[in-house]
Order: sequence, then structure tokens, then C-alpha cells
Amino acid sequence: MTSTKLSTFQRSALSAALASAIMLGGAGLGGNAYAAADTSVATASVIAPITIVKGTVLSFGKFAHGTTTGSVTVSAAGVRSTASGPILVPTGPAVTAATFTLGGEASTTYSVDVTSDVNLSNTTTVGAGATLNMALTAVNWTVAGDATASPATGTLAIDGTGSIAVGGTLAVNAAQIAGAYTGNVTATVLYN
Amino acid sequence: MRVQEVFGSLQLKTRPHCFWKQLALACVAAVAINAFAAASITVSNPQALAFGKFAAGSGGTVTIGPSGARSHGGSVVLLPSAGGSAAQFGVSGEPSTSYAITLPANGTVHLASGANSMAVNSFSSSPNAVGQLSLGGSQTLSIGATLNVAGNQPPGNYSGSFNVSIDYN
Repeated sequence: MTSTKLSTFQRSALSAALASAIMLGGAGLGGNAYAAADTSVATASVIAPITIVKGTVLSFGKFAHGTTTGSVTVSAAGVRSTASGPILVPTGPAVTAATFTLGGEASTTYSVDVTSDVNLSNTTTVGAGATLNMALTAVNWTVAGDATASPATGTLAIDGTGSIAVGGTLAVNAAQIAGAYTGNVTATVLYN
Repeated sequence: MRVQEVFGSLQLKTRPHCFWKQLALACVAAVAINAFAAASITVSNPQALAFGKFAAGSGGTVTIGPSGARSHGGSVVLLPSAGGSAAQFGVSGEPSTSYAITLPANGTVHLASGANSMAVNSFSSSPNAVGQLSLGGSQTLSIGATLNVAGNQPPGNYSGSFNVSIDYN
């Protein structure tokens, strides 16, 4: 009988002690701030802006139209050829591919895009037939250090330089009248 | 019966002594728990904050969000081939405990390359301001910031460091 009573007291004393312990533990956690810190590295790479400067123009030289519609092509290497009608004239303005000089961050890749006007228009002749343009049906290009034809990407050399050469194909109509025809070729480069 | 009462009275005197003894032991145990909690908090930094590659142009900003997403302001040109990443910190400690995150103040962090530098400001984090450790006692803290790029900022590889502090609430 007495033993039972004592045992009950012992249990309640023990649970009171444990409750105190938990309370104190909780107060200890709440009352103190435990901190930690760490350091991270941060990095950034600033690179030289990519630049493009035009050099020689794309020149198809002098030629006569043929009896049928044909074409004159200048390769990116500056070599001229013809198909069908047109007759090439060896004298006159020099035949050249267009060139663009690039500058920027060494060994960095870039995308290349070359576009042109749809037509070359007669800038020197007026009157009948002067509005008949010559269609620039294709442009082709090479990038320094890359054998691929008309590549979509290029890589700047280890000195940060590069170049693009652009040729094209011109459709020449049998009724094409004499005159100087001009248009624009645009090369665009963008870092990858 | 009388004897029993005396015996019981004796026990009642003894028990309070035992009670205080147990309470004292319990107090020691509570302190030990606190000491263990302080020791268990750790922060590691498995991933650096990287702004990637870009051309400065006439200047602007490069921002890395806590998700690692990169964006630019001004005329800075980002190179898609060399993106950035948010810094990551692994926080470990008491399960389900919340903690406060302290990021660097503006004007205190710079990246340098030789004599040239760029300021890193507007630090942001995910979780923002207050984190909560998982049931497993861990959480990944991601941190981004904004880099200020001057016009014609000299090319180079820039680096620096910053501190992140966490405090249990």
C-alpha cells in the first residue's frame, strides 16, 4: 500500500524533472543564435567586343549578256565563271570577292550570316530597259581557317583576328541593257 | 500502521532530494543538447557564382538570378556559349529549424582582374531571407547577384569572393 504510493510519487517527480529539462532545452535553443558562414568564389569573363570592317567589294567585273539568260559567278576566292549566255570581258573593273576583317576575343567562336539585296540595279542608265535588274541568286562565303563552304560559324584566331570572303552568283537576262549595276552584301557576325 | 506512516514520512523526505538530483542531471542534459545543436550547423559551397562571358559594349549589367538564369541590361552582349550559374550553399543542421540568411550589402563585393574591377550588388537568394531545414536537416541555398559593367570594361578574367551568413532564428 505504502509502497504503491511512493512509486507514484517517484514517477511524478521524474516526469517533472524531464518536463523541466525539455523546457530548459527549449529556452536554450530559443535564447541563443547559432551562426555559420561560408565564402563563395564569384567569377566573370569580359571579352573584347567582336568587330567587322568591310574590305574589298564583291565585283563581277565586265561582261556582255548572251542570247539566252545565264549567270556569272564569283567564288569566295575571287575566281569568275559563267554559265549559259553571258560573255566575260577580261578587261575592265577587277573581279574580286568581298572581304570583311574581324576582330575580337582570341579563339572565340561566332556565328556568320551573309545576306544580300535580291537584285543589283542599274545606276547609270535611264530609259527603256533600265529597270531590268540582275538578280543576285546566291551568295557563298569562306571563313579564315575553315574549309567548309559557307559555314554557319567561325572561330577567331589566337591573335583575335578573322576574315570572311564573300562571292555570289548573278543572273543575267538576255535583254539586260548596258550599265553599272550595284547592290549591297551584308555580313553579320555574333559571338556564340 | 503507525510504522508504515513513519516509513512513508521518511520516504517523502528522501524523494525531494532525489527529485533535485534528477533535475540537476536533466539540466546538464539540456545544456548538452544545446552544445550539440551548435556543433551540427554547417555551410558548404559546392558551386561558385559565375556571370559567364560577355562583351562590355558601352556598359550595363549582368544579372544571375537564384535559379541561375542570366540576363543583361544596357549594351552588354552575353555569349550564349558561356553562361553563368548561381552560387549554391549546402546548409545542414537541426531538422525543421528555420534560419535567417544574411547576404552581402551593396558596395562590399567586387570582382577584380589586375587593376580593373566591377561591383557586385543586389544579391538575392532562394529561399529568400529565411530558410527552413528539411526533416533531414538540410537545404540548398542558391544565390544570385547583379554585376555592374562599365563602358569598355577592359577584357579579362575577373574574380572575387563574398560571404554568406546564416543564423538560427
